[in-house]
Amino acid sequence: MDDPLETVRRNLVALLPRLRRFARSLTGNASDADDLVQDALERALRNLHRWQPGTKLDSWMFRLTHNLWIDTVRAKRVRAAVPLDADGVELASTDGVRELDARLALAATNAAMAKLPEEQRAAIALVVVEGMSYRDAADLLQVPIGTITSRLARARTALAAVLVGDGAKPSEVL
Amino acid sequence: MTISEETLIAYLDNELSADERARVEALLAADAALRERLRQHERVIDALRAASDPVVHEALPDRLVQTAMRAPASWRWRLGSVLSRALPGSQALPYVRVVRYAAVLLAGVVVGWAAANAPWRQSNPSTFAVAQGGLEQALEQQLAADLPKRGPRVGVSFKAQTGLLCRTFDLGASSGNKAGIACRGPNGWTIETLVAAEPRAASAYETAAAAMPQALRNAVDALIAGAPLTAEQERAARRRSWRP
Repeated sequence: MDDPLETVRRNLVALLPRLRRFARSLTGNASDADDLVQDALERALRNLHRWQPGTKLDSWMFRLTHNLWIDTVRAKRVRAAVPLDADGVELASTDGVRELDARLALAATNAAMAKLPEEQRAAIALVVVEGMSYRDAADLLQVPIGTITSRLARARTALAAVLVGDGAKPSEVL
Repeated sequence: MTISEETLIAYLDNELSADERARVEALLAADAALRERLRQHERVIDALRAASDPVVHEALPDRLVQTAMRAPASWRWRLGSVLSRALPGSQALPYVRVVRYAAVLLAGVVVGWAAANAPWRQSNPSTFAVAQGGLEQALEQQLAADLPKRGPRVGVSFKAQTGLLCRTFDLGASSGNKAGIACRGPNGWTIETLVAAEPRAASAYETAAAAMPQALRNAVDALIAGAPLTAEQERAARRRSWRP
């Protein structure tokens, strides 16, 4: 007999890579991100009766993770965390120059993300990184769709100014 | 003619209607500066994905997998899923209604779910499931010797270390072969334990006690004070409405 709880647990594990990516976008560093995911998992399982079976588990988990992060930010007034250490990230390229360049670009991107206001970072994480529709992102963050549109525009204009304006453009450096 | 940053970005995000899309594409074809703006936004997208995507290919940390697979789960959800699966189409849980009241009343009565020693009840100790409907009726009225062929069947009755009277029950095949323990508190029969049970034997002669799953026996052992009630004590307890 398939145990529904077992099924949910397996679906949660399957969601972990995306949840970790989302949490990293929000927190800006790997260990805070995994702490956040762990807290979200625990809270999700404890509150599983609040999840409507038949609705999407991933949306619910993303919302829960985001809410938890907002609570953390409010409670601890966490300042934008130390940007993700590019050394910890494995890159496909083996070419030395290109790799260094990619590391710099990565570090610049993470630093630029860390400077964004919390709500803009969440919109970017959901739409650009997670590939959600504006509608889904708006539902998840519980804001009107127009708010998502304007947050995305402000965030991306700011990111473009930082990332495209300086030397962090691998294709143009080489 | 100009175009807002929002629209340009929505174009990249595939969020425009066909008409808007065609309009943006016509403008892009005619305007090199606009194409450059678009390229800048594309670079931002590339940079963000390049920075974010490696994490999904990393090996998952053990602690997260362990948490997903082992963390205490909402027992209300488990109970609900068991009962609603057993009775598809019914909105409300037929046998159990979930209520909140002071934890103090029943603190100490609570035992672990099945053999798992997970401390899940401590996460929200102010909420309990209370038997209702056919299960409540069976717990109130049925004697162990009754052995009804259908519906909830009550097994062993005993006094718990807290002084409350408790009874084991079996919901039967129509409710997913679950068995459990309920204790009579001031607000009704509180479900203390619910475990998977073997399908009820076809023979009506086999008592509920004989068919009791091991996990339930363990739970009874953890709760019981002294010996189970005899048939006579059971009838006497029923006359007192199971009051301690």
